[in-house]
Order: sequence, then C-alpha cells, then structure tokens
Amino acid sequence: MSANILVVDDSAIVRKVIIRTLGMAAISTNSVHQAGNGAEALEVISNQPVDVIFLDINMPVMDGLAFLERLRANSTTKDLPVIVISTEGSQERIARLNELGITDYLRKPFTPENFAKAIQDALSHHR
Amino acid sequence: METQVTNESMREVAIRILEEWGMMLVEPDGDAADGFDPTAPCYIASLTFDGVVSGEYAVICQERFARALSNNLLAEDDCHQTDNLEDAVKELVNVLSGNLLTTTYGTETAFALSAPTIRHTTLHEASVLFNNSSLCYRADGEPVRIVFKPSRQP
Repeated sequence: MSANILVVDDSAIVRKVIIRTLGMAAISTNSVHQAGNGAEALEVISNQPVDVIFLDINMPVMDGLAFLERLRANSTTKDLPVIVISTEGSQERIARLNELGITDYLRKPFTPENFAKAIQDALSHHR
Repeated sequence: METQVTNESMREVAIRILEEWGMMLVEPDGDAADGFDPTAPCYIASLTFDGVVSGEYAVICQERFARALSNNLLAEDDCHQTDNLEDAVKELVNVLSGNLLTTTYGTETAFALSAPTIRHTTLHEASVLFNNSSLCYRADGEPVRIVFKPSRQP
C-alpha cells in the first residue's frame, strides 16, 4: 500500500532532501505534499488525505509545536503519525513533543536506516 | 571544570557534519584567506543561540562551496537555483550549531536558536570574522570558514 506523505519545513532544500530520502528508503508513496509552515500544513490536511507527517519545529508563521497542538485538538487528525525532524534535541523539548503524541524524533543528521525505520513504524502504527 | 565549547569540539562536529550530512570530502586548511576567491562575493549564514551560553554561529563560504553542498544534498549534477544554494548553507549552519551545542552541553540543556539568515558580502568584510574561534576547511575542494562567537560563556 502506498502512503500519502506531508513534509512540513520552512527550508525548501530540507523538504527536497526528505523527499529524496523517501525514495532511498524504498517507501512507496501515493502522494507527497509540502508545506512551509504549520498553517500551510493545516490547509493541506484539510484538503488532502495524509498518512504520515514529517515536521520541523522552528518555522515562521506557525511553528511545529503550535501545529501539533492544533492537530491533536481536532478529532479527525488527532491520531495522525508525526515524525519530528530537528536539530534541537533537548530532553525538555522532546518531553513536550511526546506529550503531544509524536511517533518519532529524528535528530539531524539522520541516517537513511533510522529514517526508514521511523516511517515504517509510523505507517504500521497508523494502519 | 565548567563545560564550554572548545576548538576540539568545534572540529569534531564540523568534520562529522560536513562529511556525514554534507557528504563532502573534508581537508583542514589553516589559512582561509588563501582559499577564498578575492573577486567573488562571500556568503555569511548565521544564527544566534541563547541558553547557558549565548552568541552567534556562522558559516562563511562562496558560491562554489554552496553549489557543491547543494549538489550533494539533492544528488544533482549542478544546482543553478540561488534559493537552493542559500538554503543549503542556512541549513548547514542550523545543523552544525545544533550538534555543537548538544555535543558540548548534552540533551538536558535547552537552547533557543534563531532562524538562520544569509547575507552576501565581500571577502574583506567577511575576514573580520576570521578570529581565533574559527576553523577553516576545504570541503570538496572549496574553502569554508566556521565561526563560533560566544557573547557569554560560563
């Protein structure tokens, strides 16, 4: 089964790298959507089917934490798997992300192996 | 002894990130000024961090380095999009600084990092940042200078 992916990051090159890594990890995709911040991501989710979200934290307009809070407050999106990819990895930050129900946390630089495991776990959790 | 960023930790993180994340061949280069093209503009990508230590972290390079990095990240032969080049260098400063602070202070210490910014300048102006707390490498043959400027360290 192919997955519908949403990549949320304010850096276009990071979005491209994540999409490229999806291919390297042999993840079958039905659609890959991109958003530059949390507000754009909410717009995508309201219009498109999404199975897994890759999420950055530090973004303009609406950051990753505010996006997660909105996502979890909505009954139709509260269980969507979210994999956070970030350079910031303090225990305090990760504890807050876990409270918001993230599926996994990947610190940059991540390996293709860690990336593949994270998305496979997220997809099996969602299905 | 109080924890602080050292040239040794900067070196370890810089080489690891350039090699593993940037997929670049890294060679130490003691004198940055010799490697930079004096006729070409410099990119300065920087961000500020605030926590138990505060300051600025910057990467200084020229277009040829940015192009090599962007090509590696995107697995493209030759990237011509300026946005991609600038994005690649901004992301490099983001990944380098996050890893340096985590390597030095551990995951129990939180830092607030600003969004990376990039500006174009002359080599002469960029040289002002070539201080004792900076390192220079050639990555894929192109010079890059990495600067850590604490305004407050324990």
